[in-house]
Amino acid sequence: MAAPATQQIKIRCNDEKEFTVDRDVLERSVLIKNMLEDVTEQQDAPIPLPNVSGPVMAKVLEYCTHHRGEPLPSADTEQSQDETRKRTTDISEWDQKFITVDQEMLFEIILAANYLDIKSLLDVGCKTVANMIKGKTPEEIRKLFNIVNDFTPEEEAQIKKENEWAEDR
Amino acid sequence: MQNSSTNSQAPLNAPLADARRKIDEEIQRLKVQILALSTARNALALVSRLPTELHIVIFSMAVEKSSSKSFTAFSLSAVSRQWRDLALSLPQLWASIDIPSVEWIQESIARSGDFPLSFSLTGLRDGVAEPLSTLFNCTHIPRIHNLALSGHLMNTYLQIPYHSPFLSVKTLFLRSFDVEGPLFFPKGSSLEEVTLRDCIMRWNQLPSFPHLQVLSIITPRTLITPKKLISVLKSTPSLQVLETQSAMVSDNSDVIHHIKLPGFSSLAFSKEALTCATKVLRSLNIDKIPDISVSSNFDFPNEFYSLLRTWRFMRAMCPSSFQTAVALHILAREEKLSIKFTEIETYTYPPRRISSEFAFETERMTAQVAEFSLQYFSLTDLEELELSGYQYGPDPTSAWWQMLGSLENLRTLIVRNQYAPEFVNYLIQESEPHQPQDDILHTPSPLTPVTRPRSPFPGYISFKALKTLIYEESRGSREAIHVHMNQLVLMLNMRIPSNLFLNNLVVIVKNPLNQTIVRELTDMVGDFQQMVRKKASEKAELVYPESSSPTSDN
Repeated sequence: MAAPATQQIKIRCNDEKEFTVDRDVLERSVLIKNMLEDVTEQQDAPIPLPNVSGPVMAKVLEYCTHHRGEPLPSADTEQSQDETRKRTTDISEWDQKFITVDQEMLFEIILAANYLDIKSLLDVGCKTVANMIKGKTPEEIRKLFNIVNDFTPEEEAQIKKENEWAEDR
Repeated sequence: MQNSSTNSQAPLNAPLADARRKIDEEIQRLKVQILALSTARNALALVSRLPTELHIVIFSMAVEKSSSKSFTAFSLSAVSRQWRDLALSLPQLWASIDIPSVEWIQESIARSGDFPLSFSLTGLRDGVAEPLSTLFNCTHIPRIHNLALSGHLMNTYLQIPYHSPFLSVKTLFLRSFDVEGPLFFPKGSSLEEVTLRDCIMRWNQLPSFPHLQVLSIITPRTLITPKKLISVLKSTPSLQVLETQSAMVSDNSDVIHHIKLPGFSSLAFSKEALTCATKVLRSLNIDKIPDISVSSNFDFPNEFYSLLRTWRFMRAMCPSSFQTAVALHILAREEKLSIKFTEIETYTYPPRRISSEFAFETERMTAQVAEFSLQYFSLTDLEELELSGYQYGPDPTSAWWQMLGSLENLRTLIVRNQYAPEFVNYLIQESEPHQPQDDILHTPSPLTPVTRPRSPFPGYISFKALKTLIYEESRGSREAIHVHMNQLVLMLNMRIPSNLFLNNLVVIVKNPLNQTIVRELTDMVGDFQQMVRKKASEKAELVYPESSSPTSDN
């Protein structure tokens, strides 16, 4: 039997930080939604979320609160053509502002969205990283993500050749 | 002696060579170690915390969202070993090919596995046909789903060097190509969307395109006949959208065909294609088109409107022609459908731009759009009107100046170029009907409100709500502009006592006005600005009232 929408749920992060949140906000997370549906009796104990820290959860909850009430993407439509097209469209203004964070927080949000199964947030995070990458040269990408060149001379020679083809664009 | 020397060197060099070898080995070992350490360091990068499945999503998105898909795929594969291994294992990254290099095409095809291929090759030259040969000879043609090829030279049509039919292509875009039927339009084609731009179309009869939904033929430099277009429409039973912007020539195909296109929903035409397109459209057995888009800088022939009348349409996109807008409005009204225009332009007459939303209130419905004239309509909600351009019809002005005067809510009127002196001339003519226009234009001494008799304008010239008048005259001699300004003064002087409450006047001329005119204009309106056009390319300079004084009277 579905609980009322205003029910408050307590969650506990891996740094012991606790949040009390409206159920409909938390249910943006498919993971938590399924957990709540599996629980038949009302529990006072907080739901443990061992893979998410307090600061990241606060950010995730900000997103979920803003998008509360919006329809969740269903499994059926996920693979449809429309959905694929939607995935490639731009990020909304609010989401863009929301996701303008430092790289560490960005990846933490993506990991949290992946763990909590919040598809729309995961999508925003991945799109943001994709936007950071597209059109950049390999060296620019390395600099962006603090990666170093670890290619062997043979691999390097092959990449140089490919670069010459690519410059033909 | 020499021998002994050589003999003595050998044992001496041996330890050195050995030492060098050991150092080289050490360097090599250290290099390997450095690479291993670099790889280990990369594993600690923040981005490496993301699991592989998210890397895959991000890589795919980056390529998909990039305007240069091939280059982004290359970049991803050239960052680090880990990224390269992953990128090379993802065929979808390599399936969109937009670099016209033979080696790149071959490598990408090899890396793309069994994925459907999309080609978008631009800047192809006729003499450099290798990419095309590679493409058209490859055994992967059945995998090509999207094909966009653009020629490089405007006056050259590319010939396709080989003949392997594209059976699986779903979307086809060709620019500057010599399009032969059998190659691109083979029997059993899967085509769903076709755009032909600046192409020569050599076909007499085409096979059926059972799946074709969108057809766009944009060939302003080449000709297409109604017969040819009918031959296409006959073979496209699923067609939904047809757009033609072509220089069509007429032929003798007067036979009415009854082509059935049950899914047809959208029609877009340009003026250039229209004369003959109406002939083609008669052959369509269509009673309803939900979406009509008429893109043209010109008005359409009457034949088109009567043809439109026979169809019912649900929505019309904003046309660029005023006359078309009015005609569509009449039709929509008769069909009891709502229609809304936000901006309408025309390069003929009358208003060039109407920038606020308005509704037509037709006083009289006319079936003969040919006889359409602006006095039949009152644009009741129109607030802003800009009249510009260097050409206007033979004698349309009289009627529509009268119409403009009756616009009850017109708050801003912008008159530019020839419309500026024409506007003044018309008002003067209305106030002094017997004075010939030529005399007004060349009157040597400025007219002043004091010496000229005040005669009221005819009732329909009211401009009741007009608050802002922007007058821009950049052509003509300085003398002529001054004469016009004096006439404007005269007109304003006569209007102000009655019901014109102009409170903002902007005059933009190429030379400064003399002080008398400026003073008189200033006296008559609440806010007067004179702008002097220095050069066409420069920004207008504001010289009055804030800064410098106008030129003195001569």
